Amino acid sequence: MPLYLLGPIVVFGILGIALLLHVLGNSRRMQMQNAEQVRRLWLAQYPKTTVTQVEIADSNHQALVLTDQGPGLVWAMGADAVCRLVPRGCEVRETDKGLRVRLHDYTAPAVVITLADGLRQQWKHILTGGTNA
Amino acid sequence: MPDVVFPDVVQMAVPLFVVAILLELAWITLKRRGGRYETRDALTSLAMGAGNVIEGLLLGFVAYGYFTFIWQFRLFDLGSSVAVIVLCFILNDLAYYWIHRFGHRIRWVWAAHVVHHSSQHYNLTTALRQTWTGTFTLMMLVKTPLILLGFHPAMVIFVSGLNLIYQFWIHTEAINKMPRWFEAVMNTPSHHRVHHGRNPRYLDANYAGVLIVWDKMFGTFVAEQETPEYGLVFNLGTFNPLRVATHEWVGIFKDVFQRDITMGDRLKYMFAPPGWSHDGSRETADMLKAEQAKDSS
Repeated sequence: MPLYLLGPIVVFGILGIALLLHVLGNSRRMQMQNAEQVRRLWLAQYPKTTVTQVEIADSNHQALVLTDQGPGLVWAMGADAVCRLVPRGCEVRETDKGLRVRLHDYTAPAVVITLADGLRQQWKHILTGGTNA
Repeated sequence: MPDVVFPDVVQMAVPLFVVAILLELAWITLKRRGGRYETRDALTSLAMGAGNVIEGLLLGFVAYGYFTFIWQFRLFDLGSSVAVIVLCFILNDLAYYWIHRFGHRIRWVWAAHVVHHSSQHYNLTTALRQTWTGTFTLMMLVKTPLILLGFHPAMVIFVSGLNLIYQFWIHTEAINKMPRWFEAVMNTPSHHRVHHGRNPRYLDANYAGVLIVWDKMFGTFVAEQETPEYGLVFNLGTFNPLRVATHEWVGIFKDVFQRDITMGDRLKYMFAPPGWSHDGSRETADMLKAEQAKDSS
């Protein structure tokens, strides 16, 4: 197939499918409804840890998990979720809507957390090496 | 030169891929079963597919050049009869089985193939989530015997394209099981769902391209029982196609060039199974499967 045909088919095919998916409501992000759901998500990724506490962010798209191996984050990746133990030395920056956590992880570079004013300092303290939720 | 011209079947199939994705999406939307779609996930998969086509245009000459070079050392010239093309298809499928198996067992090859497993979804767009770095694995070497036996390079590339096209339709949850005879011989959506499962018992299973008989012959066949959970043992936290394409290469680089490990360790970080680590801090698929077997016994 000549490139002048293949190119437009690929480009418009991708854009068309993406637009259709969005219009059909497939862009909704996972909602974390309760601590038990977050705990299940976490233990599916880190089965050898013990979860001691779960805090869900205001948007229901992120959660802070306290474990025997340190703090971790669970966050929505589209309709699914991803979990990471938060390494020492991660950068946590306050934003207008909450926090931005840079994990120094090429496979999961940053997490944007929607969080009310009152909770930002508390989460930041924990994520940067504190202990209590 | 072969006496027939072999078309680029993968490029020809692109419009069919688009139509099939739309049909699967319509089915899932109307029936509310048979799989899941998510916009950014699908967009990433499609971008990876487009990038793979571009890689083929830019670097396809490497494999073709290698095949053409070794063609001069062929033992026979088998011609291009239908019977020879069919035989080439079957032997190429056997070569694919081993390339695919190496792709899961050798981290250097996994670094390219991991892309295909990096979605947490399993739908027809997942089939197109292909590597941009396959040329660097040098897995074209595995097809050397085909060329030396006398299958023309153009024919090998043609049947490789057919193999890839066959594998497109099996990336779906919309089809449960095919007829029993078909499931016994051919790779099917059910068999390939197992291959994409991150459940420990499904890891490193069902490497087949077209014929599932290779897995049965070489002891890697696992039947679908529990519902597969798709994705990687450690899922990606990004939809960025560049990161998806390169993350395992970056991981290899960091591991190989860390301090205070032996040269042997550095080589193992490149060529041992994915998950190997010098200090035992990570887990390979074998370790995960052993743990699961221990837990369930």
